[in-house]
Amino acid sequence: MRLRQLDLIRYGRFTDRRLDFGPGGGETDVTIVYGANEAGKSTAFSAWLDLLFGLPLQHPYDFIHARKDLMVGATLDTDDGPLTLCRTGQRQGSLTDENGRAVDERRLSLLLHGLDRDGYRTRFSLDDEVLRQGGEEIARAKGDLGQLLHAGTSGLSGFADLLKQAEGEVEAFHKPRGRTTTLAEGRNRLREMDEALSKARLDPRKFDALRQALERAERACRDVTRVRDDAKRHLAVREAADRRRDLARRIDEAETALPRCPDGPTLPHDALTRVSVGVDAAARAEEAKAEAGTDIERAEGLLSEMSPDPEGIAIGHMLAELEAAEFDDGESLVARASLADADLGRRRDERDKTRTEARQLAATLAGAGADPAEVVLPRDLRTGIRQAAQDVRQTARDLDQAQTALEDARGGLGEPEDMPEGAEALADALDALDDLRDDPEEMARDLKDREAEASRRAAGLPPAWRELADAGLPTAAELREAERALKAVDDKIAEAQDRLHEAEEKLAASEAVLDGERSAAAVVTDDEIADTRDARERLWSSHRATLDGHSAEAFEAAMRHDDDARNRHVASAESRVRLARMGAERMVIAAELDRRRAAAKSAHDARKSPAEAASRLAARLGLEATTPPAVFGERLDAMQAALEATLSAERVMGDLRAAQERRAKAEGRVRRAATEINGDPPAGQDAVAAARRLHKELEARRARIASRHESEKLVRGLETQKKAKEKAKTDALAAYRRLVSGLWCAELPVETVLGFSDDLADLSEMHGKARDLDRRVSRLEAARRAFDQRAAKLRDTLGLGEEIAVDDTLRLARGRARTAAEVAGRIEKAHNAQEEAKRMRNRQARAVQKSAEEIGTVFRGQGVDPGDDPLSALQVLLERDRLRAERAALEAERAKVAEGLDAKALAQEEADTDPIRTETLREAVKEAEADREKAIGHRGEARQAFNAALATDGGVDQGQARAALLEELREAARHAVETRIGLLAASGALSRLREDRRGPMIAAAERAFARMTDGEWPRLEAQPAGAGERLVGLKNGHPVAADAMSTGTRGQLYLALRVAGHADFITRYGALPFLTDDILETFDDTRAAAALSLTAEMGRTGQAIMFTHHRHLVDLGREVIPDLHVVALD
Amino acid sequence: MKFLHVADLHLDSPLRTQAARDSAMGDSLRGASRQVLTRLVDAAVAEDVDAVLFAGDTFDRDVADVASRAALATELSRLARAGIPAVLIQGNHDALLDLDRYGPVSEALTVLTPDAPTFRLGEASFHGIGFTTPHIAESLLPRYSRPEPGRWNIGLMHTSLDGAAGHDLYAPCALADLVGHGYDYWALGHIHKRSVHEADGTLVVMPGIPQGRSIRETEGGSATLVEIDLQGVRAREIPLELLRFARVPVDFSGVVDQAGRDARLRAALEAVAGGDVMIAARLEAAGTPVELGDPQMLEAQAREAAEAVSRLFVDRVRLRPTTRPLDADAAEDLATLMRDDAATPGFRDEVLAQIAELRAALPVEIRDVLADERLDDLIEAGVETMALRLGMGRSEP
Repeated sequence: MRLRQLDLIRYGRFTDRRLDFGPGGGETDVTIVYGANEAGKSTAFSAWLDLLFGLPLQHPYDFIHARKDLMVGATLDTDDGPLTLCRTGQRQGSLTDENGRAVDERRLSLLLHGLDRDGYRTRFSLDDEVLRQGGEEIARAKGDLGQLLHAGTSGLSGFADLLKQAEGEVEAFHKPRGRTTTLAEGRNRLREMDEALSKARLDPRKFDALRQALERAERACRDVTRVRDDAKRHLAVREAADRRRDLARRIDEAETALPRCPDGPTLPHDALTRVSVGVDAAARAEEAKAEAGTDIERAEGLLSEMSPDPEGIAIGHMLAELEAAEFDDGESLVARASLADADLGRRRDERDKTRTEARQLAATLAGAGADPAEVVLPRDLRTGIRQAAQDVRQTARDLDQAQTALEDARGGLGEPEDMPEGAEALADALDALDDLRDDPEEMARDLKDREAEASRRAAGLPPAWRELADAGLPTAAELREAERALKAVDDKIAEAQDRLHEAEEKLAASEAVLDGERSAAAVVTDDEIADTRDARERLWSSHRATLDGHSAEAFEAAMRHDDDARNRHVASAESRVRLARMGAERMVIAAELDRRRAAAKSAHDARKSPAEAASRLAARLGLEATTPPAVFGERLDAMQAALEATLSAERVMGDLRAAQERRAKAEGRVRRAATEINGDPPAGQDAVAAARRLHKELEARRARIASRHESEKLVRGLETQKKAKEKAKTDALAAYRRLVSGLWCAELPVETVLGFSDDLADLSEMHGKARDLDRRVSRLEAARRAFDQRAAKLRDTLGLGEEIAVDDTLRLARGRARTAAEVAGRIEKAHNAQEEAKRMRNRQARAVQKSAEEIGTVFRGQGVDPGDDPLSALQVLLERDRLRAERAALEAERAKVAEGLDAKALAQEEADTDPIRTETLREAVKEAEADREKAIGHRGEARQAFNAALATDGGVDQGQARAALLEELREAARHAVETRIGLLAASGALSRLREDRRGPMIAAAERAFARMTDGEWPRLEAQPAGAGERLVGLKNGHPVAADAMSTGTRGQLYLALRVAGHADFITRYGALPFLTDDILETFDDTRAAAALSLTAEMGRTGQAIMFTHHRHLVDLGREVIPDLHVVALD
Repeated sequence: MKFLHVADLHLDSPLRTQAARDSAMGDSLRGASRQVLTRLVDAAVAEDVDAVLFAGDTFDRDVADVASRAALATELSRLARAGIPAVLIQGNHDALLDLDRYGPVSEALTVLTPDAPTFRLGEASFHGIGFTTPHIAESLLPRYSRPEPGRWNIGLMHTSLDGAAGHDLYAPCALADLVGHGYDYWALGHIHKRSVHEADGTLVVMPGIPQGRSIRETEGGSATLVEIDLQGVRAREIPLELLRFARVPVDFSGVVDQAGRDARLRAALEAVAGGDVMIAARLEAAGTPVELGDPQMLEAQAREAAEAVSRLFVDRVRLRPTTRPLDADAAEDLATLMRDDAATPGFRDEVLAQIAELRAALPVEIRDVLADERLDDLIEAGVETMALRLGMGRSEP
């Protein structure tokens, strides 16, 4: 595509301005649009982009023409001829042709090869800003161009990180003098394991040493034990001797004291107890005897002071009888008589007061002189009358309310109305219209899109594709099968052909060898011998027949020839065998060759059927018969896509028509319904709107009619309710009359009776209370009379009259009886005490006598009299007996100490009174014990070590752990070395790969950059930068990143990248106009000339348009660009 | 007559696998060779054999741990209680071991020596000459007794036979010579790979190591139960091993994502699992760089997959990357350049210099992993693994 003309119809400061870029077709297609500053270069530049991609909503060039009026046009040269387009600011259909017909945007998109606005700006429409920003992105391998530029070396950048990581792994395993590496730690662990293993392993030498140590320890232990035992034995004898000397001394002391004691037998063992008990018993008995005498005297004194009261005792008996008397109801006579004394007067007063109040209330209710007993009504009757009166009152109120509600409802009824005919039909018609879901306008837009899509899909297909598709497309499986079948036969043909060639070569080789063998060795065959022999025999026969010289010579020659042949036959036996074998082999190969020829022919023949099938499929797909099946699938996909899009559009078209018909039918129905109601048919859309308004009014009227129906129903219901209330009132009044009929209140009004309700209850309560008080007074009076009769004798005995109150009579009687009983009790107690004291005095006198006899028994036969202090006398005898026992015990102990000891040694020790000898021997024992303890410890340690060694499994576990660790280290070492080798190989390979894999675009950019910089920057390279890559230029062998270059150089680099990208795009997709806007501003003349020269090269393969305000660039361009076209923008 | 033949028990020799550091597996394998010895005795008692033959290298060292001796003595005492004698010859590993240092090991044990080369039991005569020095370069066969007529003659010999790959020559002896000696059965030891030979009515069995100790010992795991009667000599295997080392090839061709790799890994691991024997699997992963993915991720996936398989552990993962046709992919180009570079003599020299320092730093026992003769393997693996990593590094965003 090239830009022929750009029409700035209404755009920015331009109105109907055309920029003509000429017809092209020269050696180069380069246009420089020259204009001074503010001449509108940037405006025209922007207009071109807006034409292609539409006007943005916020537009910078709407300062003269409003955005909605902006318009830009262009004439494009395309493969299908010139195309004139116009772009406006409309939201839809903004792209039109010269006749104002909308043009599908996709048509323009196809011409732009799918580039969007940004893509086109980046690649083909550059101003200084886009050039700079885009260039930076490209240099950092971003965007499409960037990826293209770095395509060759992309992916290598990640390797550096991987290699660094691998290097870290190697160093983690081992590095010289490293202490925390896996290997160093493993070696340390091994050393620890070796030590543990050495300890754990029960080596025979170690085992022997342990066993010997144990034996030594046991011997030492036995030796010191023996020494310890000797020392203990000596000490024991010495300590026994010391003990015996001490015992002998104490025996002497006892024997010295005994002669000073009285004679007599040794006392019984309980002598002291018996004497002590006797002395104590005698003392206690004397004391008790004295106390008994005192008690006897005290009792006699008391008896003389007291006299008994028999009459008081009799009064007590009468009182008991009186208090035990009861009435028939079980209540005590005394208690009731006492209560009567206290309550009788008060109860009589209370009874009289209640009677008076009841009479007064009865007069209030029923009139003066009314008897309360006649006025009082039973509780049930009183309650029934009150309830009936209340019912009468409530029914009257309900009736009043019903009457009021009925009158209100009747007043609320409005005027009656009617619904016109046809209202329902209108509602149904409107509902049917609203139920239509289809939107014909939306469907029309969809149809348009689908038609465009179908058209685009069908582009590139043969004209008759639709007929082919309708006739039935082959399936993908058919295509695959055809391709597979054809490939299979082709493979077989190729294989057969290869096998044929192989057989031909083998045959040729075999024949060559056979010929060589034949020529190398003068081989004589059996046939040749037969021939020479036949010739010889034949000439011999001839010679015998002729016997001439000529035949003789002939026979001789034949004979010699035969002999020679025979000799050679014999000599060539081996070669003949070889030749025969070779001949046979050749025949085998020849036969094989024939078979393979036949197989090849068969394979060729077998191709005919699948090839024909493929041709038929090609025809069904609209392809040439010779088209290879490999492209069938692509054509099938394209045809299916086109068919699908076309069918889709057709379906939408059908749907649209149906929707339009349905809508027209529904609207007609609405109009007819409205006309039937008011007879005034509106037209078009207004008819539907008017029908909707009419429908709304009718719906309001329908609501009012429904409301009046409801009110009428309500009035009827209220009338019914009123009648029911009236009946209820009548029934309640009749029930009330039945209850009061015959009573003193029968003629009273209902409301009056309801007002007496509480007073009737009070009168009933007073009447009951007066009757209860009458019963109580009668019973109290009877109780007092009974008491007076039963207590007459008692009162006489006490000397009391009947006027004495019940409680006073009882109190006096009880006092007299209690005093008489107390005196009688004290007399009896004093008499008993006197008798007991006399018996006690006699018992104690006998006890004193018995104690004296027991003490005398103990002292019998002794040289001591017990006297008055038997205990003191007994102490002397007891001391004598103690001395005797001590002497015997000491002698026994002394003998026992000597038991088991060497008598001679003991005697010597007893004789030896050295005061420090015992202590010396004791120290010796201590030392021997200490030695033994130590020896036992040593023996225990040795035994423990020996047993522990025997109890272990030896070094099995440690050995296993060590072996496993070694295996880990072995594997890790192998891994580390492999990694190190891999690193070594990769680092060298990586640098070479970078050189080898420079992409074509970077090479093209490098050439352009070198040309623009006149060779000052001869090379571009992609280098790793962080996680990605960056572009660097090499100047004097040193890499310089783009951002470190001067502004001009950087601009040239970026332009070089665009030139390379432009070339790449054109190569792959075709030409598009390449526009620049004053991008050579920072270039010096030399470099600008070089850039223009590059532009000329671009113009040879496509269209290049430069906007500039530099006059000298125009002149420069004319020098370096052939056929330069210049447009002045004034 | 029935007897059980075992060799190369290497009592208390550790397993050389990283998998043993797995706590669950480590617990199960504690004292693996002792457990195998116990199983051997269990089998002897269960089969009610007439004798158990130890054909050398019962111990791993000349100076055996006393605990190891005690373990052997314990198990032999079980044999004694069952009335089963044991016949033993010493091999190159335990040639200098003084078995009687603490008195007779067991009343059940008979050690055949040059001075007492024959032990007779019922109708059988057991002939054997154990090693008395760690290395014997000549065949011991001429020193073996002639077969005793009218008796079953069984020979015990520790020998590298005709010479086996990976084994030094110890008392080499031609198979034909053994067959020709006239014994009915040869109970051999020394080669850790099981083999059975039969000729002229003589059965020659190398039982292999009963418990493999590394990935290099994958073809043993059993003792041999031998029956001799008038029908001839018959032998069959009695499994003893607790753990089997297995090379597990995993083909990742066509795999495009981690889920696919996981499926292949699980299928491969489940194919080798099963039975009572634990498996220490060395995965040999084959595929293009893209198919294999990141090596560390692949190993993690393998260990994860092994978690789901009962009694199976991953020993290690070896990558066997397959190359693909040259295309425009940077990583592939880089890999190609690396391979080209790695093939140059200069590169080899540089690698030799670089690994010399690391080799010197390694513990002596594992320096062989960087031996010069392994240089080619290391270079190939190093280049291919790095190529894999670079390939994956590029494919990930």
